Parts: sequence; C-alpha cells; structure tokens
Amino acid sequence: MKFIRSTNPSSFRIGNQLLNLILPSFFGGTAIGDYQEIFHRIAETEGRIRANRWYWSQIVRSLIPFIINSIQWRVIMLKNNLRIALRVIKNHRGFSFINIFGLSVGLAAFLIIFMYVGYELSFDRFHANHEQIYRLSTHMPGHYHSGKDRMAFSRLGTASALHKIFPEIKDYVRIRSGRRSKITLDGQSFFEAGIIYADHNFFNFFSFNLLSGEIADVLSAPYSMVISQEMSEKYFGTANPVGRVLRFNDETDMTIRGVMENMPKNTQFKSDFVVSLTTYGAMTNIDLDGWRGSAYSFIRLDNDIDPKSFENKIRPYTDEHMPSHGGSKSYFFLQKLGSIHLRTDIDAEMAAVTDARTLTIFGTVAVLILLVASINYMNLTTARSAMRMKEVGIRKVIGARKSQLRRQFLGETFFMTLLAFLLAIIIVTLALPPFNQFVDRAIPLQSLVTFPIGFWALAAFLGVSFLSGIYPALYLSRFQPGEVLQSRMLRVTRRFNLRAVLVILQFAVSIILLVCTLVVRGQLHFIQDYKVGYNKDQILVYSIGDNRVRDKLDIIKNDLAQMPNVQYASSTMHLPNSIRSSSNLEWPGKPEEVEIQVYTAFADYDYVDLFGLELVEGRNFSRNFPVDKEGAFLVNETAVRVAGWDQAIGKELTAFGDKKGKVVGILKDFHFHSLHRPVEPLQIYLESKQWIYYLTIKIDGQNIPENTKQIHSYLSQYPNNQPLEYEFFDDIFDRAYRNEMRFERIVTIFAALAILIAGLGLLGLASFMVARRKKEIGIRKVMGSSEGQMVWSLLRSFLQWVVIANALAWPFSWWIMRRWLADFSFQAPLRIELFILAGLSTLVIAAALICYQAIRAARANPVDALRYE
Amino acid sequence: MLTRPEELILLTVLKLKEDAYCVPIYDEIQKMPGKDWTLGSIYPPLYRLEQKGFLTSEMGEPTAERGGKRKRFYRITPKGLEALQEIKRLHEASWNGMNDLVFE
Repeated sequence: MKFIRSTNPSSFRIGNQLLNLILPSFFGGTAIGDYQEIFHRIAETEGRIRANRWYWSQIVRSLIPFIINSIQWRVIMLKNNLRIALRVIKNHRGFSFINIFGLSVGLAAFLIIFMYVGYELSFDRFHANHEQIYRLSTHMPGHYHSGKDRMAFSRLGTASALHKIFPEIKDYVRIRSGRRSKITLDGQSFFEAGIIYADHNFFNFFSFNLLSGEIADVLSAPYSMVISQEMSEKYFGTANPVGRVLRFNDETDMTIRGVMENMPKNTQFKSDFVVSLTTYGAMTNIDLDGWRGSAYSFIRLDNDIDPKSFENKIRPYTDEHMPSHGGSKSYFFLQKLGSIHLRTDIDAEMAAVTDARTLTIFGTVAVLILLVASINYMNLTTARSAMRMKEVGIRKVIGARKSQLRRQFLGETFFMTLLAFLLAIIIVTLALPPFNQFVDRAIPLQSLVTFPIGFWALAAFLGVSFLSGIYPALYLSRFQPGEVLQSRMLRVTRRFNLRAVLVILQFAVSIILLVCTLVVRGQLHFIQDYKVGYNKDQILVYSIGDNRVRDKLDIIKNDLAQMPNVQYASSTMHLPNSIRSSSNLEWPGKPEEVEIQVYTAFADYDYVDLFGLELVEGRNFSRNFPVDKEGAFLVNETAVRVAGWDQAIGKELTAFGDKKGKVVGILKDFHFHSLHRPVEPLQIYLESKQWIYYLTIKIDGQNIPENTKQIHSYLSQYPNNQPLEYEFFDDIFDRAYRNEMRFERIVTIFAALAILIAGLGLLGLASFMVARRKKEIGIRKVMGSSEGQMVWSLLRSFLQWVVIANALAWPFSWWIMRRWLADFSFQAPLRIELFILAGLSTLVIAAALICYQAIRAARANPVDALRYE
Repeated sequence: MLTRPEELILLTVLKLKEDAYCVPIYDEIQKMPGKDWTLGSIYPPLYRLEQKGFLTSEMGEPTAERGGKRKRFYRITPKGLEALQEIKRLHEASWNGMNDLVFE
C-alpha cells in the first residue's frame, strides 16, 4: 500500500484539532485514524480533491450538531444560574438593592458624562472630509485682544489668494456672522439671531442638506439666502418660500433661493439664515478679495497634507504679501474643523467653546465613580459571603468544580450588573433633560446607542461586571466544605486584608471629589465676590446698534438722568468687565522700538461715576472743562507703570491712529478682564458717538421692577432696528464665568454621587460585619459588656480605614487643585479648612452609618444570636 | 432498550463478524436506506453500547494509511445478542397486523 502524505498538512492539523474537540475523548487516536484511512482510500480511487471534499464535509456535518448541543447546554446552565441569582436577590433583598442601586447610579453617572464628552467632541465632525478641512486662524504674537493673541478669523482676501498660489488647497469657503436683525414679512416682524453670510459653495463644502433650490446658485447672487425648514414653516407655513422676499432691518430685501434642513445643534455654524457673502460685499462696497474686512476662512486640503508643514510653507508668502497687523507680523495657523470647539484661547470664535481639559477631567471623574461603584459591589458581595458559605460548601460536596462555582458567581454578577445597567438607562433617560439644561447643551438621547458612546457603555457594562465579579467569584469558590459545614466562621486574620484596601480606596476617591468640589466652589465664589474695582449692582445695560439711537444719545441720557431713582446714565464702547479692543500706546517722545499694547475704550463723562471707578490722581472727564471736548484720556496705574512715565497728567496720547487727547486723570487699576489674567494697561477716551455700543443706567435699590419698566417704555419710543432688550450688569458679569460655573455644577453632582455610593457601600458593609459578629456580640452582652463598648469596637476598625483614606486623599487632591487653580491669576487660597471639612464629613457619615448598625446589633437579644450553638 | 442508531450499529457489527472496526462499520451502515451517516455519528453509539456491555473491543495494529493510529475492533457480546432479539420481538409485536393499513 502506498503511503500517501497529505498535500496540505496544515489543514489536516486544523481538521484533526476540530475532530478532537467534537468527538468523545474516549476515541482520541483511533477516530483520527479512521478518518485518515477513509481519506486515503478515496484519494487513491477518486483523487485528492474528492477526498478533501469528503473529509471537510464530514467535519462540517459533525460540527453543526456539536455546536447546537453545546449551545443548548449552556442555555440550560444559564437558566439555572439565573434562577439561582434571582433567588439570591429575593433572599437578601436589602443588600441586593443597595448593590444594584449603587451600581446603577455609578453606571448612569458614567454614561451621562461620556455622552456629554462625546457630544462636545462631536462638533462639526459630521461633515464629509472634515479631516481635511481647516480654519485659517491668525496668530499675532504679542498683540492681545481680550487677553488672547490668536484670532479665529483672517482677512477676506486671504483664502482666495492662497488658493490661487498653493495647489494643496482644494477649495475654500468664507463665513461671516450676521448680527441680530429685524425680519419683516407682510408687515409682521420678528427679531432673529442665527444669521450667517457664506460663500456660494457653502453647501458643497459642508454637509448641510439643501432641501430645495439648486446648490450651484442658491448663494451666488447678492441678496440671496437660504432659510432653514423651521424658519420656512414659521414664516410661510406649508407654502414654498422659494422666490419670496424677506426684509431685513427695514432696509434690505433678501430673496429666498432655497430651504435647508435644520442644522444640528453640534455645529459652530448653527444658524437659520444663510445669506450669500456677495450681499455683504454689495452692502458695504468692500472688495471680497481684498484686505479690508475679515471672515472665518475654511480651506480643504488634499489628503495626506500635514497641516504644520503647510503652515510653514505658506508663511513666507503671507509674510511678504499680506498686510501686517498693527506694525508687526502675524501669521496663520491651521485648525482642524473638529477641534475648533475645543480650544478656549482663541478670540472671536463663532460659537461658544469648551476647554478640552475639562472634558478630560470629567472623563476621569466618570471612571472614578464607576470604580467606586464596582468596589462597592465587591465589598458587599464578599462581605455577604458569610451567608453563603453553607451553600458553597454543599455544592462542593455534591461535586461542583471550582470553575463551575466561579462561573456561577460571575454569572450572578453579570445578571446584577445587567439589572443595574437597565436601571441606569432609565435614570439616564430621566436625568438627561435637566442635565442638558444644567450644562446648557443639547445632548441627544440616541447618542447612548450610537457608535462611540454605545461602545463605551458596553465596555463599561462588561468591565464592571467582570471587575466586580472576579474577586467575589474567586473568593467565594475558595471555601472548603469541611470548615464551612461545621459553621465555623473563617475569620480573615490577615492584618492588611483586601477588603480594607477596597473600602479605603472608595473613601479616598469620595474625599478627593469632595475636596475638589469645595475648592472649585470656593474659587468661583471668590471670583464673584472679588473686588473687581467697579460696581456691578443695579445697573441696566442696553445694547445700541442703530445709528438713529446713537445720534440721540445725549438727549436720551439727559432725560434718563432726570428720572427719579436713576443715579447715572452713561454710554460706552465697552463694559468694564470686558474691554476687548486694544491699540498701541502712543505718546510724543516714545522711543521707536517700544511697543506697548494698551486696551482702549470709549466712554462719556458719567462712566467713571456710574461704575464707581476710583481716581488716584487728577480728575475725571468733566463738562466743566470744555477743553476735554477736544480730546481727553484717562489711563490706569498699570499703563503709567509700564510706560514708565513720571508725570502722566498732561501727556498727549493717540488711540487707533487718530484719536488724540491729553491725559486728565489716572484710574486705580480695576479688572477689566476675567480674573484669569492680571491687570493690563488701559486708556479711556472721551467720546459719545462713534463706536458706542452700550447704554448703561444705574438705578436705585428700591422699586427696581417699577423703575425698569419706566425706563424701558421711555426708550421704546425711539425707532430701533434692534430688539429693545436689557440685561442687568451683574448677570452679564456672571456669564463670563459660565464655563467655570458649569464645571463647578458638574463636579458638585459627582462629589455628591461618589459620597452617596460610598455611603451606601459602607452601610451595607457595616451591616455585614455586624451580622457576622452577632455571636460575638451576643456572648459579650451576656458577659456584661455595655452597648457602648461593643459599638466602639466595631467603630474602631472602620475609623482607622477612613483616617487612612483621608491621609491618601489629601495630598492627591491638593496636587490636582493646585494645577487647576494655576489657571487663574487670582486664586482663593487653598485653605486647610477645606480638607478638614471634607475629611471630617466623611468621618461623620461613616461613623453615623456604623453606629446605626452597631447599635441595632447591640440591642439585639443575645438569645437569638446564640440559639444555634 | 436499544435506540435506533444503536440497533443498526449493533446489527452491522454482527454482520461484519471479524472485521468490525469503525471504517467497515461506516461503509456498511451507509448502505442502509434512510439516514445519511457521518463518520462522527458512529462513535457515540459505539461508546454507549460498549458501556452497556453489548460490545467488547480490542485494539489492533497501527497502519500507515491511518497515519500511524491503531484500529479498534468490536465484537458483539451475548448480552448484545439478547438486546437485539428483544428489540426484534418488540418490533414484530408492534408492527403485527399493521401491514395492510400502512400501504392503503
């Protein structure tokens, strides 16, 4: 007989392995031999191909029933485990509840945070090719505007010029923000925000869907626009709006050329009206390819072009051909479209942005909370083991293998986690709307199931059930039947047992979160109460956007000042909490090479008095000094110091190139930026008409609603193309810290959650420790111990743990908070009291919970405990 | 009581007399109408039959075609014969008088 070797030994090997799996182990070698024999027989008579076919068909046909069988088998085991798990829950209702609840709270917190983080990261990432789209932003080293030396926009002509020269730029589009406008249709008017101007290829460049109208020409002609579906329904109902005209600000007619799908909320371009950019050119006579005027410029680069090297490539060109900003060079840098939402150090962003660092912090916090919840579960489950020792012992006697037991316990955890997960989803659904309100976002519920978050949710679920389950599974399956069935309590004698570590860890995390919350809140309140150097209370602020109003300002202010309960009325370019524009400080005799950036505002005679600014030298602008009308300045202390003047009063300054005047007074430094930054040089120029944007009115403390109504109706008589709306200055002030406030709120919630979970855990743990020592307590009581002594002994070990947790938590939270506070130029001191407060409260909570349990045990009748001896 | 597959395999072993190991059993049983047997479906019944004492087995020589693996030869035991007879009686008893009905 010929000895035929198989031509593909490797497939044979696989096949043999499969066969070993499928066939009963008893047959081992002989079975393989059978297959080989028949294979060779067929190969000899009918060829190797037929032989192979036979071989593999045999395997497949045997494989199928094998798989079905093992599935059936596992299903049965699963059902059994489920039954047991349910029975466990029923029998230990209290603790199961605590466990599941703790887990679900942790999971819910985790889910919501990840949904939030995912939402923030999703801004503008839904556009096709978003990876190749970049914004041309400007960096002006050394020139600060609102404290930042980077700007979101570039000049109008920049993108088109670069596009002509550099072939790497495939396409570009420019956007401008429109201001709030009055829109009229058939005599009815509404004030609308959400207006942008865009180049004709806007709908090609970005993935916003056009529902009607031709992409090619919806935005080409001037005075054309596209409106959103929502707006179409609002103004035209079900009728087709294409071709209709809407009047803007009582002066411009725009024709609707198309309707677009409502924009999703997670885009910086969120708007309802997209107007052609050529309209802007037509209205202002600015050359759209020239250097006057600015826009947000977006370019699309070829695949595989590295933005950094492209930046370097265009730099020589821009340095040479583009006009500089204020005398020194600025250059462009590229920002990925999807990352724009995540930086807060750029000025004049189109929409509100978030700091990416806070997202990292939130993510970490979420994971920590999940960790705490898992540790909770581990603790409770293993502590409960005392009650299940008998069960384990009996099972082992019957013949359960360790692996089976482990699988059973793991399955229980899995099941409990599943319940917790379902509960968590319910919690998330209920909590999402208020959370959205709280953080001022619009996170959709579906993000829970869509890709990135759904994945993390599943990962969390599996991770938690595995993590929480593995320790109890290993621990519980280890019990020896002998000791257990004789109901001898196996005391864990190791000094440094794992449970202690877990409890300590749990508490440490809670304390850290608590400390961080206290510090963050402290810092925010510090900022809000910090003496900024000007008054914030009872000041009404109206925005001025219409020249008709501007022209009448003197009369208006006069009338207002006459009203009772009005202390001052003033008009200004900038409110004192945010003076944004800057210029170069110019005075005769200034050395050539010196360039000092000075923030500049325009204000009138009453500005200083209205805001209660202090003068350290000289005087305020005054009507009694007619010379002021020819040009007058106030500067702040920092300006004097930085410029190095001995005598400031009388110096002649020039702002914005053409506003000249003499310094008449020096103001005490006040914080005209957020407290993140130190005070910078400031100059205020006396001016009542040009570039005035705010009307501010200080009123008395009494009858505020009355007075506001009176003022409002007075102002309503003036024709205005802007909606007449006012705000209180202190609200405006608080708004600047919105990001920080949001941060504070979220951290507070999480601290509360972490403590809740830790507390629950401790409660459960305490009850078990107590239950375990029931006998001991019973005996002691009979021997004559007082309740107090017994409570104390229980308390002692726990308190040790809490103390250690504090010892760990304090340095770590100190280190973290130092880093967060470093962001602020003005920091509330990190007082030790905060740490003590955090530590003490955890201590108190722990003690309270334990005492509760301990006293209950101590009160119990010793007879019950000792009954079964 | 024997299951169907067990019965068929037992019969096959009986038929094969000396030469009853898995491969001939497989070949022979394929000839029977009805079920399309895979090699793998023979092993469990063989195992059970041996456990119940209806078959005995002894190992044979390894050969090259089997890649060096040995054969296992099966023989029916008296107990096995009895089981076959029992099942035959059962079969006759149940099908008694059925013939006409079935083929109408």
